[in-house]
Amino acid sequence: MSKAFDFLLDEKNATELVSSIPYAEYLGIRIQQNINGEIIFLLPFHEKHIGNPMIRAIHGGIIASFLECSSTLMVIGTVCHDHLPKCVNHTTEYLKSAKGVDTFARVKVNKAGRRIVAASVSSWQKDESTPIAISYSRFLVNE
Amino acid sequence: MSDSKKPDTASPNTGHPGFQEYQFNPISMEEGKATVMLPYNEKFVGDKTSGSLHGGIITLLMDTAGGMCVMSTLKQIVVIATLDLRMDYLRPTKRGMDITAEVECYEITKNVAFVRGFAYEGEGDDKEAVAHMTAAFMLNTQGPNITDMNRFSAVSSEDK
Repeated sequence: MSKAFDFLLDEKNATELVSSIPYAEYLGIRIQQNINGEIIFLLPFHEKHIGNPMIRAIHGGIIASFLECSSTLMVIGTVCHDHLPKCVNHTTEYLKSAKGVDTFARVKVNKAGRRIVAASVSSWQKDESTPIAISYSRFLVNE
Repeated sequence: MSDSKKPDTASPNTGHPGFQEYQFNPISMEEGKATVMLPYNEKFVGDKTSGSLHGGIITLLMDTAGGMCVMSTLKQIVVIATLDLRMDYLRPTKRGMDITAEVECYEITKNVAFVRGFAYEGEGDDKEAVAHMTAAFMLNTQGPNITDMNRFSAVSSEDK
């Protein structure tokens, strides 16, 4: 399931998809492809993302929002084109403090069932091998 | 922003960019408990058709309220960091409804604080839980040293 449908690889589709969710657009999420043609989500750094001005770290809630939005977008792009999946729950595990730079995420759809889709997301800043946060989410589809 | 600026515990409204940006409104704060309100905003909608808020903004609210309630149990200001945070979305929120987070710190140990709470919409008889949160916060986490701070503020001033 790691390969996305061609749907998300089209830049126009990707931009339209992000703008269909006001909160994803507000965060400024972008959908990109890496050299292997895999879908990578990007959260460009913005001053409004800072949660702790003393250490200039991105707010944990923003990171969780980014991961949840990324998995929603991936589920729409790969599993259900015609309707919004409903997030049942979302667990974020924070591994490192997020610095004030761009953040990337890769989504893996672990199971696309008839009613439930389970996805996990890994996010990183400078190096993909040292993730800053990992999240697990479940979505209700085909309601 | 000056590095010497001290955090102001009396009014969490100052110094935290989130309070201006998201219009978080701290309603009450006592030892181990925090209530924070998020006014409805079209920008934070997750489903345009129904106008319900995106889960991410409720997570952001719950994380902030969780952090505040951990702070309220501590005798002094320490740096805290979220270890993990689980959100259960009980029902979609309604268009135009403000969300109130009621969070409590139910256990605190030397290193870790455990937090849980509900996000509600409506008041009185119409009050309904829309989400549940459980989280763990690490206490006394190491902040970056002064050199790191200078580096980050240099980057931010360039960006501006």
